[in-house]
Amino acid sequence: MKNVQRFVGRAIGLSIGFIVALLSCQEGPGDDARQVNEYPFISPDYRFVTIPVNIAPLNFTLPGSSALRVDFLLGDELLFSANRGKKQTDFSLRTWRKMLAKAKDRTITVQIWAKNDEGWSRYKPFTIDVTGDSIDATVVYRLIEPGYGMWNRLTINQRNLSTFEERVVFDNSLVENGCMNCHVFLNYSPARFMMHVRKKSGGGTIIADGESIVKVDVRNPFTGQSVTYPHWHPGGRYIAYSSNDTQQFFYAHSDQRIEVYDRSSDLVIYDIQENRLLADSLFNDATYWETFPAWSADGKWLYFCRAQAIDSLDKRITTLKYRLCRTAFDENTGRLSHRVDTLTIAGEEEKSVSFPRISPDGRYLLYTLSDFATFPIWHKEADLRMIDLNTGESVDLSTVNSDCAEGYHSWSSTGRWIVFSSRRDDGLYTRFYFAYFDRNGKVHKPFILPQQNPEFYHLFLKSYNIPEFVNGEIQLTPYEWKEGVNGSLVVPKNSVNE
Amino acid sequence: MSSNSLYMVSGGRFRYLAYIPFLFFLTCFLFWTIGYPGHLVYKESSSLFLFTSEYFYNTVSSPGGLGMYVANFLTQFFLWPWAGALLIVLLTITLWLLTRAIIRRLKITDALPLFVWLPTVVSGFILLTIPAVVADLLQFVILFAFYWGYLSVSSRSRRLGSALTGFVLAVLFLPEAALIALYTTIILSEILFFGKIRFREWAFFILYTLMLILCPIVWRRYISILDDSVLYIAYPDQWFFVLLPVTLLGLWFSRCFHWRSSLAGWLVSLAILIGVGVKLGADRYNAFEEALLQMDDAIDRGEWERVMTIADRQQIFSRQMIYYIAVALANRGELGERLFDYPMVGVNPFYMPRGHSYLSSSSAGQIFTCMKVHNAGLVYTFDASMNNRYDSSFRTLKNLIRMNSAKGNRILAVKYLDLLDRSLLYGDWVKQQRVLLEQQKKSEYEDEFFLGYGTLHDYMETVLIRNPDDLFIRDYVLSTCLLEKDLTRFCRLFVQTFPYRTQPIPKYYQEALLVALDMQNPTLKGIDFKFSDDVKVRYAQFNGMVNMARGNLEQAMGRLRSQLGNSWWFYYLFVNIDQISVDGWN
Repeated sequence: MKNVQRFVGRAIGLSIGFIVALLSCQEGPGDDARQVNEYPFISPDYRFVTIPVNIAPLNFTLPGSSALRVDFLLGDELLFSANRGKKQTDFSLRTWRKMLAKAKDRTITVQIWAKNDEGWSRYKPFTIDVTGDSIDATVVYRLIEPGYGMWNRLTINQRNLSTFEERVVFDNSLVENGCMNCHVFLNYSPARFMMHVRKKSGGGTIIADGESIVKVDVRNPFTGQSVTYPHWHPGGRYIAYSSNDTQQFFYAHSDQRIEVYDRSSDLVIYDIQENRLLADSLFNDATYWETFPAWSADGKWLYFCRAQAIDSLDKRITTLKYRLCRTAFDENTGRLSHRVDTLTIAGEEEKSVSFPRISPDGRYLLYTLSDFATFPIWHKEADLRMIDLNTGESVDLSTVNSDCAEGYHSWSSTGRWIVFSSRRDDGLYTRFYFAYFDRNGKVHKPFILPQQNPEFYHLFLKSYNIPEFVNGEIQLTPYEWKEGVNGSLVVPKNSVNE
Repeated sequence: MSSNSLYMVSGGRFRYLAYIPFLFFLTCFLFWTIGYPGHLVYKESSSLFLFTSEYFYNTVSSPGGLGMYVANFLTQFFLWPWAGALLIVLLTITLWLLTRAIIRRLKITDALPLFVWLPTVVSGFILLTIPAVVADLLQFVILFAFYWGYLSVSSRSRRLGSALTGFVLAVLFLPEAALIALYTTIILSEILFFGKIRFREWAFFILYTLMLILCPIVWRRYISILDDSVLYIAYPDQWFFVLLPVTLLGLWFSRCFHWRSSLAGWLVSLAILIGVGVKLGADRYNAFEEALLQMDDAIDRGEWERVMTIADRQQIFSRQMIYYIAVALANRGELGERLFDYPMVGVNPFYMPRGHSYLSSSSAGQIFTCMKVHNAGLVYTFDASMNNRYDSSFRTLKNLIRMNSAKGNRILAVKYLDLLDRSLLYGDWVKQQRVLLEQQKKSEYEDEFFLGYGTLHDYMETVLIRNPDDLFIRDYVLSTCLLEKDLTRFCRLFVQTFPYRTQPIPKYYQEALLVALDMQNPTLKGIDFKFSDDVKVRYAQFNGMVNMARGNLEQAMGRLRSQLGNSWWFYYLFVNIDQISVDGWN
């Protein structure tokens, strides 16, 4: 009996060894490989990008090829070579990490051989810069069909940027398929965040602090309207909101399918500590519409976008232009100053500003610029822009912008990385791109959020929405979150300054 | 056991009953192929199966997901109704054979025929409703297969052990409700059929119960997110799984009373089975829905003649049916000629609302594609995807391909084509579409405008003015005006877009024009239209009868209708267009 077992064991061992040997010895390119004097059009495009030392493997495919060999070189030293006999790569996480650690703050050369019907071709090598400026551990985002005011299943997911691990943190199937939006974190903490949940049996603004979750009925005291775009004060006590009366219209033909705009919008501030809503008539009048609040890094200023109110918007929508403004904030009283500064940027007077975000060091302001209105994610011409608040000069972002819409964006906790959403892949489905912002104020070529399967995005039918960096994993489970959402509604006191 | 006992037929007395199964399965096949093909095709078009890891993971991550995955694979063949019917019948036969095998394993020789047939008969009714999916039937069969597999182990201790280890396999194929049914049946059969239970065996039962309670909790913690409300019974149709323990109890019960040789047993069984069949049939069979689904399929395939054939068989119409009829008539260029041959009430049926069911949204976009307002078509198609349990379907993918292709949006069309190319049976369709896409040019539009759902007529007018030579658009928009009784807009658009000097004017347009001329509509001043004699005579008669009945129009209504038939005049005078329901004023 033992002999039989031994025999079977050996047979299995030999078979496995044979298969492993067979798999690892894929036919590779020989010396007769055709030299192609151009860079390979790999998908996703990771050529000449700058990546953080802690990023997950950048798998790619070369359309039209049937097999690939990829060599990563540091100078003349071969770091590793991958030859899977497939048209797409699947780099081992361990090998990838080792390679990046070795190449930290240096440049890797990538040499690609591709096989097609005519045999092997050797492409012109390209480079990837590896920077020691790590990226935050996690990015949190919403996955949604690119539908129009309707949705079925929404999830808010977190993705570990060093691996391919993705986890659903909140799922609307637990809350009557309601809408979840505008998630925002306090100082990159995965434990302190807020979001809105709208559902049939009553939603509200969910504010989580560790394991404690409260549902607050945050409404504009002047209009009674629910609040929309939030930004959390770095001190942790206040959240600034805009309350928007939003309308949407569909374009009949254009690739820019939808126009979303506000018929009015105002600013309010929620004081978490005192559970009170602070509203000032200056930011709640009918003359101006204020939206997209964003705190400065020191919390002393509130930036926002403001437009002169107009009527008959469906016919005059192209005249709706938002300017970038700011006002001082007194943290002790929770009140905004009555002096509003408008930041005029040369050459952008006739454009419309959205999503202002200040870098963690307080020096740079990143925003989206479109031709008109307030919802740039459907505007093909929408681009990211940045100004240096110290000098007032614009930072060149031509490397990150595309012909399609660039929309929502966030800074990493170090201020060295920005993540932004873009429709550049196909004009419809929003994807995330990360760009390195170096110490000299230069923005490098961005790269898409890497996926294990490089064809993932081509076949994926959901959009990535509202990317926010956090410095760890959200520990709250969807079921704990659900309990919070279904919990009792806290109604804040109103403190109105007429 | 004699061969007759396979059919639970006693001796030679009821030998002819041995043919009943074949008759039953043949009837099933014919019913599905001839009587209910719309449902079969709908099951295919509203489902999705792709050979991608993403699809596999998404499907398998729900409880019983592997069963769902296999079922969705099989659903692809429902593209051909005969293949779908054959698959259903094969599954039903499998269930029948499994029931018999289970009876053999339980060593029952005198089962009441009712319990031999009950699961098979009930399984024939599972797929009759629109929301039912093939997985419901397949998992029902798999449930019986698992139980049969369990009984195949002869030693009790091994049997109980295999049920414990087999739980992992069962959980991949069966939803929680089926697992509860399976393990309840296992416990019941051990107690009822296999003698005294020892302490050690009770421990197994407790373990099964614990596994059943914990399984969904562990699943939702580590595999996928499940709401409390769907943990144990995800949807009402899962109550069908209770038939396994019910069958077992019935078999045990009938064994106690030795029904085998009894004619009474057969008659009682037959009566109950017929009763169950009638009840389930009444609850689940829906000829109206079948007609709707057949029309829907014909619309998807562009078979306008078939739409009208089905419509002509209908007595009662839903809003969606009227929509299909309008689309078919407009595509045949007959809308102005036949509009009021069907119970049209107001413009609502011409444009389906947003946010309704998958079925409504998946076809609603088609009208806008015909009208070259592609973005509206895409909006509806995305709505349909969102109302579908798979977040997409073969139908919505095809719509997205057609619409993006028509729009000349090559990148998106290729994306959807590549996705559909990963299915089993759409390879040729995808190839054809790729060829068409190569020939398609990017649509260019100089003046963009908003689609305001509150101002439907305004933007439909804009659409017509931009495409005055498009017969479909012209017919649809002009008919919209007639349905809205908006004579001013009708006259304006008619004069602007209809080549009335060279082409015959459709009947209902003539009727409206005659009224407008009588009302001295300024747009028509000085224009000489060619009216048919029939329309002129009928109009004179209509006016005469209305004048005679002045003061008592309600009474004249019936006479006008019976003597002069359908007309726009009648619609104009008597039909209240605020009324939404269109269940027949005809």
